[in-house]
Amino acid sequence: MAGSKVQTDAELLGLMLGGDEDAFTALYRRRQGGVYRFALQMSGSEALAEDVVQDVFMVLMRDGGNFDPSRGSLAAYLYGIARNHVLRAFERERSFVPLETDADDSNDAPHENLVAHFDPLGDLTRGEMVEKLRQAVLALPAHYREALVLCELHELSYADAAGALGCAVGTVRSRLHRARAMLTEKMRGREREGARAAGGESGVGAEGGDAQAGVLRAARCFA
Amino acid sequence: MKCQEFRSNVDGLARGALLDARVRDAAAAHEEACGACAARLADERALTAGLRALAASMREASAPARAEVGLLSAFRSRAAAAAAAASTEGAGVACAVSKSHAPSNVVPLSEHAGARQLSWVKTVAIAAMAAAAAVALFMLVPPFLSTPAPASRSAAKNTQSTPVQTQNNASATNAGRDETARAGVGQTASSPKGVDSPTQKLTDEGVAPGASTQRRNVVRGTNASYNPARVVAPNRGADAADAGEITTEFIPLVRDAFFAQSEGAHLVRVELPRSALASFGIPVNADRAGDRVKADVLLGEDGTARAIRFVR
Repeated sequence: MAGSKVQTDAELLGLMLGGDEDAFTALYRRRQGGVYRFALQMSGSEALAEDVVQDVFMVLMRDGGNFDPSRGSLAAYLYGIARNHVLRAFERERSFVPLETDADDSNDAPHENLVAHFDPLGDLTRGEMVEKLRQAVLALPAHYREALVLCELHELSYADAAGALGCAVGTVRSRLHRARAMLTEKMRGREREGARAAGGESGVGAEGGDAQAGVLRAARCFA
Repeated sequence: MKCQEFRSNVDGLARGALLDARVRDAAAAHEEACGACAARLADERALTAGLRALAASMREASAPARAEVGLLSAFRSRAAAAAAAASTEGAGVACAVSKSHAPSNVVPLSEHAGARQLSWVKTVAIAAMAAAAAVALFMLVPPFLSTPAPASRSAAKNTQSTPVQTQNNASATNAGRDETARAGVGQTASSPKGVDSPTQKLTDEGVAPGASTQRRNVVRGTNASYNPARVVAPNRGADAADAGEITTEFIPLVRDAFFAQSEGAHLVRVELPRSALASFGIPVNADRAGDRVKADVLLGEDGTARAIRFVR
C-alpha cells in the first residue's frame, strides 16, 4: 500500500482487489467494528456477529468488484451484506427471531438467547437502563430493528440506510418512526411494570406509574 | 402547528435532525401550548438519549482478533491461487482441454464434468443410444450371467483412464459421469453421501481394482451434492489416479458456497507449506512443517477459491 495519507474506502478496496494485503488489513480494521456491532445489535449474539464479519469480508474479497460507489458508500454496502447474512441466520436459527411485539406487552420479551442477563433490581442505574433499552431493541421485529440500528446507533443517513436495506428512503423513514414508537411503548411498559412492582411492595396503588412519570424518569436517567 | 404535524416531525425534533428553523419554531410554540405533545417530545428525546448511550456503550465492541487472522489467511490463499492461475508456468495438471483459454495448470471444471457443455440434442441422442445399447445387451446376454457385458466394462475402464476421450464417446458411463459430476457440483445434499445411482454403480464396477484406493473422490451419486463439509471432486480422481497421486476430499474455503450448474470452474495446482495443512485440521508433522505440499484449488468463474484439496 503506497503512501501514508488516509485513503478512501474505495481506494483501499481497489488495492485490495489487486491483491494488496495491507489495503485489505486497513479496510478490515476500519470497517469490521461497524459490521460487528451491527450484527451484534441485530442478533444479540457475539458468535453470530463474528461469523457475519467473516462472511462479509469474504464476500468483499470475492465480489468486491461489484461495489458501485455511485449507489452508496462502501460502509452501506458492507452493512447491506451483513444485513443479508444476519437475516439468513435468523431464518436458519429460528431461536433468533423475536416474538411478535404488537399484540400485548406480556409477549414482548425477546428470546433468552438474544438478551443479556436481566437485572431484577430495576432501573436504578443508567447502565441498567441502557441494558433494558438494548433488550427492547432486540425485541423489535427485524425490519424495524435494522432501520433503527443503522440510523440511530450507526448514524447512517436515510439514503445510506436505504442503500443497505435495499428499500426507498421513505420506507426507512417510516420504519424508523414506527420502531421508535414501538420502543417508546416498550420502555413505558417497563416503567409501568416497575412502578407496579414498587407500588405492590410499598402498598402504594399500582396505577401510579403512568406514562408521563416513566418518560420523565427515563429522561432523567439519560439526560 | 397542529398536533398531527407535530407528531410527524417529533422524531426529527428529538434527534435534532430538523434544519428548517421555521418548522422548529412552530414546533416549539406548539410544545408550549400542548401538554400531550410536549410529553411526546420529551419521550422521544429520552429515547434518543438512551439510544446514544446504547451506541456509546458498544463503541469499543469489535470482532475478535482470530477473525482477522482467518480472513488474512483466506486472503493470502486467494492471492496465491490467483497468482497461480495467472501464471502459465508451474506444475500443470495433465489435461488436454482448453489449453488455448487457460494456463497449463488450470483445468476447466466443465471439462471434468463430462458432457455438460453438449447441447441438449446431443444429450438426448446419447441417452437414446445408451438405452438402445442397454436393451441390446439385455437381449443378447444370457440371463445366468450377472456380470456386466465386456463392452460396458471396457467403456467404463476407458472412462477412468482417458477422461477427455470419454467425453467424446457417447456411452452410458459418460452420461452417468456427467450426471454425477453436475449433481456433485451444483446441488445441495439432503444427506452427505447421497444415494448411489445405477449409473454410478456401473461406473464403479468398471474400475480397475488397482485404482480403487485412488478414487476416493469420485462423486457418490446423482443425489450427491455440494456440502460444505464434503466437497466431491470434479472427476479429478481419474487424473490423480493416472499420476499415482492420492488426494484428500475437497475442503470448502467459502462458507455456504455453491456452484451453479452453469458456472465454469477451474482446478489450479499449487504448492503450499506443509504447515498450511494445519489450517484445515489435517495433522502436520512438526519436523516437516517447512516442506512443500501440493494442492488443487478449485476456482470459481470469478476467480474465487471455492475449495482446496491436498495431493500426495
